[in-house]
Amino acid sequence: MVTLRKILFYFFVVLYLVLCPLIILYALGYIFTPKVEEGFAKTGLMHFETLPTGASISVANKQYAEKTPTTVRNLLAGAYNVTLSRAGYRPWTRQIRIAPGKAVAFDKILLMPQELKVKTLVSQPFDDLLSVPATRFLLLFKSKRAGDVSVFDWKDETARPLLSANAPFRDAAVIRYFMIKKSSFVLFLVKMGEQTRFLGCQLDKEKPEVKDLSGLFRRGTPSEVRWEGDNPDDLFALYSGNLDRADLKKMKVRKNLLEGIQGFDLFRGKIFALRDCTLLQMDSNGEKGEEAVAEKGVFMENLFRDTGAFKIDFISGRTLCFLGATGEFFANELPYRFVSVGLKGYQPDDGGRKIALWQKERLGVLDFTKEARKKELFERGPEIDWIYEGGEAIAQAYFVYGTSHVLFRDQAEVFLAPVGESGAAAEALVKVREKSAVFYSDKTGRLYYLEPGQGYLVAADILPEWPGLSGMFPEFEAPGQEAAK
Amino acid sequence: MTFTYSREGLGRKEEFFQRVFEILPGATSWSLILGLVALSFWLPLVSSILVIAFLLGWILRLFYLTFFLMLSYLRLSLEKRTDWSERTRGIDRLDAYCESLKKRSVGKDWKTGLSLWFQREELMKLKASGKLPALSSEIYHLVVIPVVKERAAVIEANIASIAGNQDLCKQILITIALEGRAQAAVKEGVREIVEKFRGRFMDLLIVEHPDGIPGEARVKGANTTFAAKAAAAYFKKQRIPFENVVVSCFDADTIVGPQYFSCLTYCFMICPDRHRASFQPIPVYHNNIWEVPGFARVVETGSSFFQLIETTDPEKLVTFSSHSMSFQALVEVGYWPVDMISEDSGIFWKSYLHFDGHYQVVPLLTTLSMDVVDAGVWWRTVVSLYKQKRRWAWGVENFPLVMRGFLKNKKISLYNKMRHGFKLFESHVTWAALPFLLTFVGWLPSLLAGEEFSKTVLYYSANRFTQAIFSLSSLALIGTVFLSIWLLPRKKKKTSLIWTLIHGLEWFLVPVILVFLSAMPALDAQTRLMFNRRMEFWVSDKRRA
Repeated sequence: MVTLRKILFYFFVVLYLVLCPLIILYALGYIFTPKVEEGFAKTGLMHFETLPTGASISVANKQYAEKTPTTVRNLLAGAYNVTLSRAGYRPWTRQIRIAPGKAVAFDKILLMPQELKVKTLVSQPFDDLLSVPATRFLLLFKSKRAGDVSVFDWKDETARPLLSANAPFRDAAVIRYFMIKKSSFVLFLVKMGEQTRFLGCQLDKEKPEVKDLSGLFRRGTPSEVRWEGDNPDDLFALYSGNLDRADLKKMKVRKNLLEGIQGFDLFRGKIFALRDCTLLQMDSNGEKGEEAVAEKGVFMENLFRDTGAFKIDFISGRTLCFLGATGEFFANELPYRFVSVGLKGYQPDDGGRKIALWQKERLGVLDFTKEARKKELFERGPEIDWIYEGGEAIAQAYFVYGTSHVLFRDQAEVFLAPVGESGAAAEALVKVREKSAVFYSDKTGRLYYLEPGQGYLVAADILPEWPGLSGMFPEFEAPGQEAAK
Repeated sequence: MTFTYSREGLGRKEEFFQRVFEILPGATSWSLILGLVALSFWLPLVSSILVIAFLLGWILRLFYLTFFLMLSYLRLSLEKRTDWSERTRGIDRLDAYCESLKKRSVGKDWKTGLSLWFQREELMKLKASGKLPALSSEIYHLVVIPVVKERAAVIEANIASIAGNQDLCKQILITIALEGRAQAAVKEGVREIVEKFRGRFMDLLIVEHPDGIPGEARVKGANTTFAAKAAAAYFKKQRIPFENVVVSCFDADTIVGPQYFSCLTYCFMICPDRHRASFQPIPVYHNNIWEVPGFARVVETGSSFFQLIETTDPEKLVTFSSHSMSFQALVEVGYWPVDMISEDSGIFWKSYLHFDGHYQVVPLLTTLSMDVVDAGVWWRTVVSLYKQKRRWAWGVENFPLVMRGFLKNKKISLYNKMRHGFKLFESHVTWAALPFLLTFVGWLPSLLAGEEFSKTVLYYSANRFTQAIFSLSSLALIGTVFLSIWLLPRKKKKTSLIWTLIHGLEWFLVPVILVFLSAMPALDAQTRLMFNRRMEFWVSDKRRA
């Protein structure tokens, strides 16, 4: 037994000494190629994961037996034409460059069906569609008349009129609306003859309650109205740089809570406002005085050169964005100033670490999670990756399939562009009604839009059914899916 | 060689080496675990290469050990029906017996044939050595049973099982090493048992060990040593030479078979260097195996398997739990260590150093059974098992003593010092670190991969390799499941095939058990030793229906 044990021990030691370097070399990508000029070569690999799975792979016209998800290994350095194909879906084609020892991973390839599956949800003609951000509600407009507005719940796919048949403001014209993320409270500014009224509406009630809140507002139109929470106690309205607080319970107004500000946001019970290159903070009840979070100085003066209004937005607990009236866009993270002019809108992801943003002609993605480039003299932070250029009038964008793709509306057509693939073309998906908005939910994987002919509300399946989608309908959609217009 | 196998009363230089070697195992285990975690963060490429090298080594080792586990089981099963009494008597008339054996293997089944072949080989070796033993009728057994809080029923079952060795009962002296601090009820119970069995053995002694003897710790070794000294006086009085006495130190819950002492006598007689050897049976934990929770069953069966594997390498085998040795050797080395918890392995190392490396452990091809830890409620059983494993892992306290002994001893070859020193060190470090490395650290380079590393071929290869290794390891696990089903005793009540399958599936708890009831207690013990926080002997909770 002892002898056998010794023999086997040395056998295993030799086996280990032979296998270990071979396996490590193979794991690093080294293979032996029979070609004389190659000998031992360091190879690269490609990794593919598709939705739906089961796509066949062709690399440099060589068909592989494996289906996605899979890894194609032992590829010598060079460029390869790759096609993934699956019956009933559009082929996915790319030219991929392989470097020795490197892996090129496409782990969120979204295969689009040859023909999108479209379902009619409401067979009535509408002119426009508006999503109440991060809730399950869409507002459908047949005209500007308040009585012609319907509320569509995409969770249970039901539609109902916003106002009941005998509501007093049915004939008023909707001239403005105010909404915030994750709140099913909507504030409408309507006009009846020469008179303007403010109507507050809680959409998640079985019968939407409409309250006339006009007594809480000044004459004229506020540039912004904001509140915190689903069922707000206070509304904050900004009039020519002066902020009023309206207490909905006591029906009282405290005027000029803050004066001379350029914009504000509410976050965790506090008001954050910008005034003369100083970022202020104040309790939302206004009992304690204001205090400076970032004081005026060379840095702030350089940043806030524009003295006009700013839309201020906490997209996460750590990231604060500023969008100026001329389309200037910056944030409190390096390199601070991202767009100097012309930004039309932006859409953060659920975690607020990635933002899809667009100008009239191009669409980009800003990724705050990207690791800083090493060994650079200047600390730079992330840069916008412009993933689509040559648009005509980009108006909306949504992240799709996590943050792997961006779906966007350019005039009356919706496109899908992959993120992080420079040079990849955007795929045209559907045409929509002229001048009407669209809405996409990653939870249902559906695009909601008004079809161009009749103006019916329809839904197109963008994502095939996958485990992450079924049975996951929380009361509210995750924050961030705002249709910025 | 004169070397005091103790950490007490050391000079400054010795104290320094003692502390260095106390710190080394724990520091190595922690460095391995934390080092690989740190490498996964900062140098994932290096970490992945190390993980591949480590996993390959582990899987080859697993197959190697599984092969010897099977072989050891086969060897054990060959001797299942062996008549050890007949073999023992055969040695008394060696030449005639060897002749008769030649004819005997003809026409036998392969198992018996193989068993006889092994026996013939052993007899030839004995004959060639010229170191013939005393007659079997002149060989006596001393059984030392330490008692501190064990129930009377448990001790009684132990002694009754020894009494089952009817041929040899009159050559067995049982000494119950009773702790003076034991409760009165325990003492009374022991006295009743002794009265009940008086006359069945050569003699039955109760030796009460007083607390607080200078130089002693409150450990089992102090108690058994005190009892063995009393037995030595008894043998002297009876004019029985120590070289004709085999001493066995049994845990109180030990149950032996009716041929156990015949097997031990045979192995003692057949071993040419019988006074330079310990004799190690395979400990199994069958007494209450079907009454404990599944995880406890898996833990203890795993311990038996480990011991089965160890028996295939007598050159590195160390005594564990209940064991036997020449009484003459025990007296010569100065009995068991009296200030160590792990006196079972301690006595081997003490003897190895004392006899300048001329000491070995001979595996006995028989089992003895003990109780699985059972505290009544499953979570208490978990705690008890944890404490028991920590106590076993406290065997690492031998490492600094052995290393100091090796540094001092000039007669043991460097090769043997390296071989034993490395095995002792490596086994303890592996015990503490390996399950953590397997369960968590192996996956870390992939989980913590930054953008740069995730774009390398190695990132994908390492993941694939890890998965392949774990798939391969399941083959060894399946082999172990079958072996456990064969090795475990039959249930008192007949059960269905489904229950057999469920018992097999219990083995899939191995990854959890390895971490929480093997690696963690071992790391705990090594960390305590590292920080010089000594442990006291703690008697495990054991119950039997």
